[in-house]
Amino acid sequence: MNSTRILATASVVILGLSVLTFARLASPPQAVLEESISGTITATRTITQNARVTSDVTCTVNAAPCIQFGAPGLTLNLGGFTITGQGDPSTGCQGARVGNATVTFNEDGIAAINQSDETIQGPGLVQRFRGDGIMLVGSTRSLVTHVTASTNCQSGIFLNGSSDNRIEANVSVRNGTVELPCGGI
Amino acid sequence: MLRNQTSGNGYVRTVVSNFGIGLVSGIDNVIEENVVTGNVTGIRIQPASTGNVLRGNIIAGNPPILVSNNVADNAPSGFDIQNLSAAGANTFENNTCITAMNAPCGRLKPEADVLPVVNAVGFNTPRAPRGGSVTVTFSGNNLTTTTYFDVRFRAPGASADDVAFNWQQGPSASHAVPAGTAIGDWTITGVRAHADANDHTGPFASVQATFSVFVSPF
Repeated sequence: MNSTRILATASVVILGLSVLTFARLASPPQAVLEESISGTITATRTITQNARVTSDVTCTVNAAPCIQFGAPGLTLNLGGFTITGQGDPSTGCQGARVGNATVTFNEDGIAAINQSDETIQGPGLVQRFRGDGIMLVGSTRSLVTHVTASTNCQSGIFLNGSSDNRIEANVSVRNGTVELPCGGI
Repeated sequence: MLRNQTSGNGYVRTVVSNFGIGLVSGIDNVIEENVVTGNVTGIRIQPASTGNVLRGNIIAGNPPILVSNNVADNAPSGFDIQNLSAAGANTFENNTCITAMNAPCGRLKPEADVLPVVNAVGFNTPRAPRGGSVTVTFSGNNLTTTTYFDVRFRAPGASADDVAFNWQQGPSASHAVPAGTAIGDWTITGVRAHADANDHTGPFASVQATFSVFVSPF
């Protein structure tokens, strides 16, 4: 009985030492790469690694997304900040459609086009874009959560040709235009 | 699509009005536990949308009253749920709404069936000594054991009313009359019943009852 207990104790000690040795030999954990987004964006900011908004953002991009996913499997964390487009403060639009002289298409706030497994993580406010606040086109398995989309000229959150996405716990208010069938989500 | 809130979205359009949640050509989505209020159309389901499940959503006040009153051409799309898809193409379960086209609508109870309101107050005795107690009973509509009661009262000799928040929970309760209580008539002049302990915003119901505190010689 005693010898069995001694053997068991020794085994546990040896196992523990082995784990500690392995841990010392293993590579130290790598910092997760994450780019920061802040200030004024004048041309589409395409992210290819995880990104975090670190202050309020003003977008002056015309007829293209303000922020766009450029690779699958990324997280864009809004960090509680506001991303503001060029739309009218009270209606999102400017006139009918939509402050874009060519009347081709209008800038969206955040876009995932033909991507997969993206995450747009709130809290954060996406407002006053003359297109959609958030647009997922041809995208799969993405998550949009805890985002507030307000006063965008088209939809607050818009999905087209997309599947298996989760749109969870968002608030979408005062979006829409007389020109298109659109709205909150 | 889970637990989102959409409100105040949209413009009236003669062809397809804007919406809180729209399924233009959505297939096999689950739309669950969302709150959709004050949009031109609440949830709009276009004919090409199939296989979607709409479950446990609260959809009410679509369109807001200003739209419904002032814009006559919104009548074709002014619904909490407007389902334009074929019968059986999508599934509706336990959604709470008021107006719907081609979709079942759970019944919202009228305000009078929900809000707690007091219309009378009584004491088990008209007077009690310092150190004694009194049982106060409120009666009215929708009062439960969890209902809170704010009481507006006039103390003996006072020239203005005072208010005690959450003075009682439940329609009937016993209150001690502490030894230091001012003697004389204590008059309840109003009662506000509410379900949320922190919500003291509603009006007081005008009810009146007087209770006397005295000093017992014994």
